[in-house]
Amino acid sequence: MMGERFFSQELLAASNAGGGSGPIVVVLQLNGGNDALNTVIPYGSADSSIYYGARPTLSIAQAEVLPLDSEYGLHPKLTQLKGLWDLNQLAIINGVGYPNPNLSHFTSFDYWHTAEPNEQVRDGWLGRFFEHQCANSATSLDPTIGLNVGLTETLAFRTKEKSLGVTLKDPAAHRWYGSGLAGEKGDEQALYTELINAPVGGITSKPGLAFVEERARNTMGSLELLGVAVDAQNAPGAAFPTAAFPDTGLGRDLKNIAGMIYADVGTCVYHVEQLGYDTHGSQAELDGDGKPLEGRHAALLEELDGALGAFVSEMKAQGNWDRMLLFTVSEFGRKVIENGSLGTDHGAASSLFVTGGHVQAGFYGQMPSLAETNRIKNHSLAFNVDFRRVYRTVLQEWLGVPEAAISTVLPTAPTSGGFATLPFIST
Amino acid sequence: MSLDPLPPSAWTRRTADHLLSRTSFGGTPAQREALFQLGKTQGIAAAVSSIIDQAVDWSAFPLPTLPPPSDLLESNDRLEAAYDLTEWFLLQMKDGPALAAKMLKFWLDHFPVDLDVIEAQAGFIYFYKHLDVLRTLALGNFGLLLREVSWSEGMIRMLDLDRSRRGQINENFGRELLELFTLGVDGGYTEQDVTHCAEAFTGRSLSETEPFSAYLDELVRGDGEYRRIDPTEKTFLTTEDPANPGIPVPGTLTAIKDPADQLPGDPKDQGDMAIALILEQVQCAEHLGKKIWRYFVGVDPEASLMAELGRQLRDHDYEIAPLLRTIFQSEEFYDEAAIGNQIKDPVDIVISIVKVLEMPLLPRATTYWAMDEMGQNLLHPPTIQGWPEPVAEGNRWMTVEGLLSRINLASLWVHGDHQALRNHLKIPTTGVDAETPYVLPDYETLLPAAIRGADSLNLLIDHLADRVLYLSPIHPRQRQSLIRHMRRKLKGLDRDKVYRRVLQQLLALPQFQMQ
Repeated sequence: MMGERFFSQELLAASNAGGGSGPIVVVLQLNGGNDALNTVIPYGSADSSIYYGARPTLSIAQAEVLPLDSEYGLHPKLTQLKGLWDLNQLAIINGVGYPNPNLSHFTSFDYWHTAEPNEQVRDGWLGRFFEHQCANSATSLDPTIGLNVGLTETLAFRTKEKSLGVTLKDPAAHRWYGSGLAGEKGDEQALYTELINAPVGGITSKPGLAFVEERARNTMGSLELLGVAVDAQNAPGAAFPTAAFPDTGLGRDLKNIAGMIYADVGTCVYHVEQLGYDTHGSQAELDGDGKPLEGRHAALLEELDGALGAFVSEMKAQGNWDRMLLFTVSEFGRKVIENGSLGTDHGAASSLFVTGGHVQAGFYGQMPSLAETNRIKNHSLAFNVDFRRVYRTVLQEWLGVPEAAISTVLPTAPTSGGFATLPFIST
Repeated sequence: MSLDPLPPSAWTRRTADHLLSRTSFGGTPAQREALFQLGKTQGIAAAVSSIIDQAVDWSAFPLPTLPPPSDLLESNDRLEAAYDLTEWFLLQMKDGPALAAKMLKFWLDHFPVDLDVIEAQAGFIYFYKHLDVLRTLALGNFGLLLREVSWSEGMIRMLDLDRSRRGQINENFGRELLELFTLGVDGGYTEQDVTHCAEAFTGRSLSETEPFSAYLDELVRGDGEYRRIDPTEKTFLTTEDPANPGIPVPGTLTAIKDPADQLPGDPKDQGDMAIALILEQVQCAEHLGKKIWRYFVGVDPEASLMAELGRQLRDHDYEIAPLLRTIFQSEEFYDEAAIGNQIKDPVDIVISIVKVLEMPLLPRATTYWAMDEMGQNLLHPPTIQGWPEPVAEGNRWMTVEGLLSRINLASLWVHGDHQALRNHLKIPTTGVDAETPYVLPDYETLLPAAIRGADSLNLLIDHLADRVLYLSPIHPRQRQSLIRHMRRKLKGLDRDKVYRRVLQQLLALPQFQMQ
């Protein structure tokens, strides 16, 4: 990558301190293993006959596909993503995976979160980024470091000792209710804060209790910051939201993220997930014309498309589009063949989407060969882009991590296919 | 780490409290004292026996008669049914045989079903049946439980077993049976084992009419066409070669004969054969032993202990109760490092509150939404892996939202403003729940007259703290802060509100999150 980095380390530090000018990364996790082959569809490629032959019931016909070029097209539900493609604002990376792929959800996700496939590692790539590269990572559970929108913490945010950043689902619900007695809330909150900050006079709490005590302290600390952020979004005259976010799970989550960005909380990394992609059965339902265009996968892609489209519009309206980089991840793709229940089983290599104000649109990586002789792990697709290259690109080209420091965040380089960044970020 | 028994001299009030806390969701001062005295006068085995040998009798919680699925089409009706199911489950935790209840919770986490996945209408029937299997065999034989679960309508639907057919296998059940339910992800099975496992269970179907049961599809149709079952012989895992003991050879799932050739007693499907081979694997016993140890002790066992737990399970033919007896009599279980070091899950929080405060559960809708807010909606596990693991550090229950939801629930609960609690939880308005009475803690029960009347806040706070935080006591400086604050408040609040304020703060403290 030639030329200056777009965002320097100084700007990154300024962003963490609560400034409104640093880079933002949104990692959108598709949980369950997205069926990439029915998302980025090889309707006209040399392998198209294999695609249609392997999926007699589930395949999407050429007439239904939203064409990206003469070979590949998007699932018909992805109309807004298609719009981004037409505006040269969408990158698609094909054949993403890692060597010796693991087909267990939990193990494979662990590998994506730790960026250490086939290792037993307990810290995440973003946790290492926060720890080594972010200015105020000494304060754990600081929402300005990273915000994970969800119900459970993500391994991606962990260091060896602790979780960094904050996990919560709904910032607006993040309040102390106390007794509900009029006028008593402040008092109760102050007493509780005093109790959990009371020095324990030489009595060391057991590790489990110490963990909860730290959580309690950080909870009370983050209450104030998030309260301010939510008030900013709801203040009279607030210009939020401008876009119409769909009232779906992902729509609400991305709206909450957009709201935090609007309120200038200063967080630089957001992590969010959409559940339900493990479509072993009833992946598609036949619509009125007998085409497999409805059903679970279609509903998920529709939710994804609607939420992403609104988020992009909102970022543009806020003037934050140029600071924004969003990319999808999934723990694996699905098999080339369909199974006996109108579904697909776990596969390996997958495709991911990248969008943002400085994304260089187009295809990256190779769509894996669908030929039976080239399939691995029982009809799964072979990768040609190690996902660590995607992470490295984001870290180095977007978040300004110096090349010499990459190994503190991604300690183990891929052993095949190289470790070069991909040119999907332009300056 | 080993399973050597706890010597009698080491039995104290603290060990009794720990045993009660981990096996029975805690107890009142009287219950704690009784258990301690039992162990002291009749021995540790007697104390443990009083817990393990309670009859697994669920007759006080009969399966309700459910409306037909066609009556559960409206989301309001399904919500009411969800309230009922959740309350039914929690009442068993509260008033059922305690250890069996803890194990029922364990099995629901181990064999999770999600109401949304198993289909919302007949799904309630499936869910109750699934829970009935798990509770009946809660302290029973794991091999039998595994076979029963492979026939559980909820599990069949959850993992697409009813939609897997020969030639077009759906691998979901085959994979998760090996990865999650038995051998563990590093349990030595191959991708081919996954496929063959899935093939072995083809043919399990769900009837779409009353009584909505599981049944085995026919191997062959009347016209001689094969249906869904894949009857072919398959290799699967390994087994011991009888001619060469100690040398593993590939296991075999023998072919299922055509109906015309079947003799009485011949197997009709390969599911039981697959389970038998799975149970032979050392990894199966070790994986289960490790999960059970983690659940009750709160840490992962070292490799040698895990091997010992596995050995004991296999020696007892996968009976759960003997293993639990050994665990609860072992010195390792009572290691001080383990006591008070496990984070409660939301069920533990709710049930420990009602037990130590001697209260009923909250009304059903409130309970349902409180559980949902805390992250343990029993009808919707986050994944097929169940809920977060019961180990302390890095515990995924303890997000800031998770902790705040527990604090808010406890605060609103003891203050008794049901409407404030319902507003906080954003409970949809329905007709039934609004009439259910909401019962406050009975301060006459919790606090002896002498303390209630006394001017001494110290006594009051100490008494409540002992009742609620006996395993993880309040720190001296926290105690001083509380006393100072309440002394100030007494000038403005009536005494009743002071009790509630103390309780609110005690239940919010990190110590109450521990067991």
